[in-house]
Amino acid sequence: MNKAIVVSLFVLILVGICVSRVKYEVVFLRKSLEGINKEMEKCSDDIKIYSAEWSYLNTPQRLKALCGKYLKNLKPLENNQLISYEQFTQSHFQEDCNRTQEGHNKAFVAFLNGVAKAKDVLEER
Amino acid sequence: MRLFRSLFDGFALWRRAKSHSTLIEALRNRLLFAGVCAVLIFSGISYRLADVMVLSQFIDCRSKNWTSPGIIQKADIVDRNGELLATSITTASCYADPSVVIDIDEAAAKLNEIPGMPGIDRIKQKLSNRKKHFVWLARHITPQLRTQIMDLGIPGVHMLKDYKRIYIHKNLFSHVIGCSDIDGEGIYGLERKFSKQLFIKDATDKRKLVTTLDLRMQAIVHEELERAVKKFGAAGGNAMLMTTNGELIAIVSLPDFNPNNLKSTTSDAMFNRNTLGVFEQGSILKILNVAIAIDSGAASLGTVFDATEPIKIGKYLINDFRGKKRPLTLAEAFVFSSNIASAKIAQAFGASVQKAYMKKFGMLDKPQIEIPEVGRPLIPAHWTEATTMSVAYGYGLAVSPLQLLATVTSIINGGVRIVPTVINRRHPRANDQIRLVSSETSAIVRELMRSAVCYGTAKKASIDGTSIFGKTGTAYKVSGRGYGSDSTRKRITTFIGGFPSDDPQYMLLVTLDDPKPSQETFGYVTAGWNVAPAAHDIFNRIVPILCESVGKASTPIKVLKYVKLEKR
Repeated sequence: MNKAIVVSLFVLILVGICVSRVKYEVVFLRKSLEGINKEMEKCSDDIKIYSAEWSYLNTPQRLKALCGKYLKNLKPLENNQLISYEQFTQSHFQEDCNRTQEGHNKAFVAFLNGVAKAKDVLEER
Repeated sequence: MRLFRSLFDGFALWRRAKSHSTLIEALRNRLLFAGVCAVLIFSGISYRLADVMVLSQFIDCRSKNWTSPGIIQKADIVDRNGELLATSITTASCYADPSVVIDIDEAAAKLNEIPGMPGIDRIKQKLSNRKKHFVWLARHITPQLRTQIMDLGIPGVHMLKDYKRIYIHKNLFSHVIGCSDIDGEGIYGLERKFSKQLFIKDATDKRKLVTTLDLRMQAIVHEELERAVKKFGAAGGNAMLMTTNGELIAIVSLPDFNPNNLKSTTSDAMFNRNTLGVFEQGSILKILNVAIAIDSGAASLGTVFDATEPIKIGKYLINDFRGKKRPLTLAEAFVFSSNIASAKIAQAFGASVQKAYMKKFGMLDKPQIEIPEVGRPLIPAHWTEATTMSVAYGYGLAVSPLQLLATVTSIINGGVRIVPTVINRRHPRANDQIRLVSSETSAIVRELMRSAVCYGTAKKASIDGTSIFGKTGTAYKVSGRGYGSDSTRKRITTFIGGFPSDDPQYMLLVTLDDPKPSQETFGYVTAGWNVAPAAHDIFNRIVPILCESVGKASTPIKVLKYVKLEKR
């Protein structure tokens, strides 16, 4: 009888301790979860502010102003600068390409001559 | 009670125990049991005390979250490419609990030193009502001001986490996205329409309202329209760019407003001309007129109508602006925009047919769109013969530009009705496939509009390498009971068109309100001289970005057979 009572008491105390411990754990975990949630919310808020700032920095008006300032030689593409594939394969365009190629060849020969001359000058020195 | 009884029994047994050892044993057991019970009860009480005194602090910490349950965050609004148009950012708002404030004068004096506060008298007035537990002192303050106020350490003055609606592109989308009040409640545009749906629980909720708008196109259309309004001295203007399936990718109405600063906004600036501006559209309605004539079989491209003499109906005289003064085919009547011939075309199919088609086109009903500010058309009370003739060339029936764009797009895009939208739906609305005109009629109308750009009044809208089609319209503005005298008359000039003509993908509508004559326009104020060049400038910038079939300008061969071109 005594043993049974002692064991029951021991079990009761053990269960009490466990329950108490679980409760504490839950409270602390909840606190930690709330902390994490708050942190997530803060991060999301920060991301939103950064996104808004990034969008503001990329507004078309601002980009146009920056292009005007730093890309003076570039202008928006106009429709007459584009051609269709059919036009691309037309002969006069090919001729233009050939002409350009000839120009490139001449420039390249001139460049090689220049390099050769420079080499001679250096050797003489 | 049983416990007490057992204890008293225990004392009685104790008295008798000296003579009875077994009873002493029983008494010990009972005492042990009673002692354990007492220990358990006191343990419980101690635990509860610890719970209340120690653990409840954490619970209090939880409840001290500075977010008010009444303040709700709103979802972002983005364009079709995911570019941010409207968002909510975290701010702080200052409030007071007057019942807790100790010294109102001292608190008011201290708060008055902080910039952005409502002023000492106003603060005192707010704090004087001791029965209240909540009064706003300042909304959406900066983090620096928040720190300054908190450093004052005034009892009863607190901070709340708040959200401020930000419109990143300021005026650019003002009439379509709209605006919200200080609490984030939508009061105009899409913000108003989707006010409830836009509320989200917290920042981790990633829902967004995806619109069909395109930031790049909106910026181009806005810039070019603004330039045209300035160049031609117009009182205002509006423009819309739409895909042929009804998705609006740019909507601009000038003057506009900055939704971030509503204090400096006028009612005129908040008027959306695209959806609310209901007015007579002039020669643009000739597109509908020829569509009805061809579709109903009343006339064909080659049918001739005499436009030699003006028509007099009652007190009105129907005349042409720089008319050809000769019989014109239906094609010529459209390309040269003859009012006389258009009126005669309308006479050919009659009032009942015209009214039935207008009803089918949706010109007599309020247009459907997600923007809440939409105007209802002004329909003539009696549809007489004079009405039929005037509606043929754009007078007597007042509709909004949105309604007009939707109808013309439906006619030129195969003849099936489209419903304009600004919301990018993952599952598009079930198209009820209402046929307005036959596909053959649609193709002819498109070719007629291409002819108007190649040889007619909309020449200045054409660009190299792309088949632009369109039509211009100039209408007098109603002034009092009429249209005013020659010297005081104000006009509304409109261009409606699209590209490419063989497979239309995009439609553009541009309107200028009361443009002025200039040296550049040789004193003319008709649409061909102001709004058509504005449309040209827009096309020139958007076509390289949008159009896949550049360098393929087609010639309207079918229509050309019926058009006699005159060399100047």
